[in-house]
Amino acid sequence: MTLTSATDKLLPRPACLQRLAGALMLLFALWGGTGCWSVSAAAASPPASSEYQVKAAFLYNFMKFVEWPSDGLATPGTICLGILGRDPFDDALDEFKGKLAKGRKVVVLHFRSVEEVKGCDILFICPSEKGRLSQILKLANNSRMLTVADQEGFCEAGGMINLLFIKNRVGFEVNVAAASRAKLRVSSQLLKLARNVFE
Amino acid sequence: MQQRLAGMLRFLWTLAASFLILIPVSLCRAETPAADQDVKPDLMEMSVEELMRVEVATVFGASKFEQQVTEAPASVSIVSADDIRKYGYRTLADALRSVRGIYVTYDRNYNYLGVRGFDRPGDLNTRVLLLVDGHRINDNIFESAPIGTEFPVDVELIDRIEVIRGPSSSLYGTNAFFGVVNVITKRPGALDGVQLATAAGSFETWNGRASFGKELGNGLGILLSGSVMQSEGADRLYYSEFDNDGSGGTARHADGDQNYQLLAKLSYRDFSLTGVLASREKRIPTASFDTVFDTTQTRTTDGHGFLDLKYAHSFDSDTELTARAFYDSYRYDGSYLYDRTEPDAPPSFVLNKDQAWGNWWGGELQVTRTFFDRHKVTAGVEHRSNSRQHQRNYDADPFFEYLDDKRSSANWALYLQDEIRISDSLILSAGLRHDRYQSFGGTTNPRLALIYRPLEGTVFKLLYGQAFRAPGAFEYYYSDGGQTTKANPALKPEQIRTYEMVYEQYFLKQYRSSLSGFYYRINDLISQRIDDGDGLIQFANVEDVEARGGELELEGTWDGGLKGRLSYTYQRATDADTGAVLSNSPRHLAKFNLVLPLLRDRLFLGFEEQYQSSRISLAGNRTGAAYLSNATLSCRTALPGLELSLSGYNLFDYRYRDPGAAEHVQDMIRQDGRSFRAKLDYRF
Repeated sequence: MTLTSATDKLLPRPACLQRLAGALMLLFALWGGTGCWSVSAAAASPPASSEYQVKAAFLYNFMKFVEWPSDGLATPGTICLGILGRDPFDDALDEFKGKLAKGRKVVVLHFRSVEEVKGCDILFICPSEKGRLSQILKLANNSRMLTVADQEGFCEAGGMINLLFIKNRVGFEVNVAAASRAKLRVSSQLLKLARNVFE
Repeated sequence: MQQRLAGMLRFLWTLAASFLILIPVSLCRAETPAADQDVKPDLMEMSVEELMRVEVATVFGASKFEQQVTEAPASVSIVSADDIRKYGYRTLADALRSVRGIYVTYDRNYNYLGVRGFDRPGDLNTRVLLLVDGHRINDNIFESAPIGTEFPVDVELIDRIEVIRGPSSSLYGTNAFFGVVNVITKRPGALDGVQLATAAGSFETWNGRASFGKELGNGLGILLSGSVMQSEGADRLYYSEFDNDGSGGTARHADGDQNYQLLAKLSYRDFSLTGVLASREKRIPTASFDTVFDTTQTRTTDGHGFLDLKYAHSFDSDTELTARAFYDSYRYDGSYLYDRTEPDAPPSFVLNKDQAWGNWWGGELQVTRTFFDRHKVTAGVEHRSNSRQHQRNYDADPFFEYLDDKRSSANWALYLQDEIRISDSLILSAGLRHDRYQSFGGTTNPRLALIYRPLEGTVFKLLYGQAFRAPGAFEYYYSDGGQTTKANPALKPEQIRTYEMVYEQYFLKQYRSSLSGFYYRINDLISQRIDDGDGLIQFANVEDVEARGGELELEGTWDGGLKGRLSYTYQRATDADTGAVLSNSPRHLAKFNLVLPLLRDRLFLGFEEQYQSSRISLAGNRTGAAYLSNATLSCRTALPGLELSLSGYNLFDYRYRDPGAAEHVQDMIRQDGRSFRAKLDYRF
């Protein structure tokens, strides 16, 4: 099926065609601008995001899909995310400003050591704390905090949710046993999507 | 000249105008959600399922471990699977052509990559290292990176292409001279079932592909794919240089192209096994190497095959071990028809066979470990054994052998890289690699990069690199018995030193801009030259050349799939002794890419505009500028899993020519005019 083939003339592209090309491009740009694509806002596109922007969004989802025991969250009216160690999120955590989860305001707090941690519902243990992991988990798992990290072997060490970074995408694994010991219920929706579930 | 300038100005104006319009438009869009709360879906509004699909901009090839593009010790560009689909790329060359600062030259047999103003006629893509999932593809005879239809992997199975500019010999050794192109293939799970694809296009081109991929749980993944392509090529190609030999200067049915590409991937936990087998046959219409014009018998076949077993294990998040063992095979089979009619004798045509077989195997062991949270050290050892480097050249009938050169060789290397986080905003990356060759001895090549991030979204990179390229078996030993080419076993490796500065700025969430300047200096460049004594082509360390230039790029990504990219490159590559501008080196390159979602996530228009300024040919003529416009309309049909795309290439049928090499009578070779392709994809 020959749709067209190279002809043998050696003519320069006529100026009118060039103008047409320009006009078409402008038209495309304008067309787009007047809102033709604004209807498509709901489509999930893969924009260039940083690893920790995506991880921050995962944390937000965990707030929605994990149920804390009936005696409630640490502080009423808010849901508190603690960041323990050297914060790798840059300004990705700013996205939590003004966000609500379970109808509560999201608050982000930073801690330098596990002993300082107080009043948190989720504790993200930064990569900088790896050497102290078992000591941190021993203390953290006693309170009703969802412990999250992005370190190999986190769930095996007794952590609850570990964020994985595989082939450019973020996934996660869940240690259900550790979560239920702290009386936290991880929704089945979340478990279905986990790469590994430790029972 | 004036007309050309006017044309270029008009083109640049169009580019600038289209992007300038997009900026205020997108600003308006960014503001509307404030009034209309929560309409704009950002990451925070995505479901877990959507988040798991979000791709993070990382690069593997720059440091041999996965890292963010902003932290890579090089200037990096990425072409994604989405780009390949939405811009309708047919080959790796199509995809690379869209990348800032890169241009491609085609001689109607192979595609040659130009980087930083270097694309020497006669260079068989030896100065760019091509990797597939980290596996070296450049063969051990010609050292070629196959980027056209001879590239062994179907482009639709590519997850992303990393283009890492500048020398990376400090990690990869030879060929990583101007840059590294790392092609990462799709994971088995990315296919998740069966895919069938077929395409038909101009020049009676037909493609077919069947693929299956699945992650079977318990860590087992499998991907199998087979593709075939057949093209009649241009029916008739006119070359005025041959207008006096009875053929009327027209080569008929001499442009055919066909290939097959097989890929198998098996992964189980830390192990992955990849197998590739591919072959392409191309007819040569240009009567290169003084062969008979207007024949269908002159053709080449290039076959690539490899098995690669990789083991990657993380002991804890601080230590990673990668081990790789591989076996490769390459086959080249050229048939060249010669007219050996003696004066006053009946016509006599002889088929000359030009062949090569390359086999090599080897292994690599690499450990990456983080010390004291600040040092990320990568150390590795690599060995490659060229068990067969065989080149043969003979006349089939009457039989006469000109060359039967059998070699074997080996090389090994040690490398070390340390990524030091001096502070939260400052990274120093220092690498060194020592390569040892049987032929010429040892060479040591360093790379230094200082990466400074004073503010979130602002990145400065200062880069210094050194690289070498070992002469290939072809350059050392090829000779066809005094017909066209002779050997030169005295060749030395060529050397490059480069300095580069990159400034990247991310702003308004949607935009990324980059500005860079570079200076490259090559000593002892291996180049084809014609010996004045006997008129034969020979490779020699003849030149010292240098290149300097700068690049600008603005890229935007918006919700809903709208994205655009605009880049401009100024480069000046000259002979260091004479100051003369190199052949096939355009001074200006400009590119514009835009994907417009026309109908939610169902219908997209991908549009590309590429400009390159005039180049000088080997004979000193000027090719004239080239303006190329490509467009692809891709749509998800009502039938789930069925996708349709329509592409037009060189839409305005622009006439342009690429410089020929020493083996061509044509000083310049005309390129394809307008062509089309229709493609159907079905997955289930």
